[in-house]
Amino acid sequence: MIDTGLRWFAATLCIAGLTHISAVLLAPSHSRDLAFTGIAFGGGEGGLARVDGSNTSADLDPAFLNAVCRFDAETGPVRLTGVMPGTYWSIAAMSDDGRILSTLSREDLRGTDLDLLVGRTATLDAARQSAGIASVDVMSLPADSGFVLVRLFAGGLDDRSLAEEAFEGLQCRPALAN
Amino acid sequence: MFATIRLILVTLVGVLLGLASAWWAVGNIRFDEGSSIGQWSLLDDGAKANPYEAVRVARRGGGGLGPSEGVELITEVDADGKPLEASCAYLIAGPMPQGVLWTLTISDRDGHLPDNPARRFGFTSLDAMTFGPSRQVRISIGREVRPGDFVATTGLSSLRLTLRLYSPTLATRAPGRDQLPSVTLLGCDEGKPS
Repeated sequence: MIDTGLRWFAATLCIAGLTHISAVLLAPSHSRDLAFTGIAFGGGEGGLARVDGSNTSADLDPAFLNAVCRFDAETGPVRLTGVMPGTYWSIAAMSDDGRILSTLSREDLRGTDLDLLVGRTATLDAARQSAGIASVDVMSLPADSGFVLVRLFAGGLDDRSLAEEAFEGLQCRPALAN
Repeated sequence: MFATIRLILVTLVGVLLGLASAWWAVGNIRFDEGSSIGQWSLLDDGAKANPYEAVRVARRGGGGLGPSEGVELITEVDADGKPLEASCAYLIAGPMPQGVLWTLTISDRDGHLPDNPARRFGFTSLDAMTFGPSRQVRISIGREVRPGDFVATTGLSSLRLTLRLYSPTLATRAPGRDQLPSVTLLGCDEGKPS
């Protein structure tokens, strides 16, 4: 009787262990609570959509003005252009599941003029040649699809107006369409 | 018949136990002791080698900081290791890393921000008052207004503090315990734990 009870207990623990491991390993790829899926990119200025607590579940810093731009296999690489503010800013390319693939911040860019090509490594050269782009910064990624997240510091009133101004001038367009 | 019922019961209990333990392990930020600095836990969205970190990143929906942006630290406990309670008031006091842009955000454990009319969700290195030569901060949080730098936690059912340090240098070499503030309990609403 005790042996039978122990066997069932061991079976319960085995099932619990397998379920635990499966749940942890499968959760990232099956998460329905993805950062920027469902955001209307069409209505955003220059292909960028502003994101905050009202339209994304992503844990973003409220002291920043955050905006995202989508890229995928259909659009190919995207080209992000604009004039960045003198305050802190950064750009992150992330996969669909929210994993950061590459980042760029104010310290990485000379001056304030931004001309950045973002996409899968293999497609970037083709995009540069096709669009006749001679000299731009590139963010080469190991993924065909994902999001470009632009963070502009907007902690104070002055910072916010600078961030708003920079956001208005930012363009994120498919590089091959240019 | 009895064996079939027992098999179904064991499977159900096993699955529930497995899911509950996975949920607990992922939700417990102290599970990964290797990335703790005092009471603060270092978040690393690039730590895909750790499957628990990968789930945490997916659950947060992304938006974390990359290596050239800086580091993100969170705490859900006070200096005594007790969980932060939304019904209590706390003082965040001590040094902050010098020469870097930092932001401190108050939210609940799901990342929801407080519902306060001033839309004050935290402080930054540019607007927080600092004291003494080491420029220490003194920020209080709670439901009742307090003098000095203060963030109202109205509308929150739990508490999480997120400290973001925007510096690629700190991303490669995390700040020491003596460079970060501590969170101490000031008091709680009546009838709530203190």
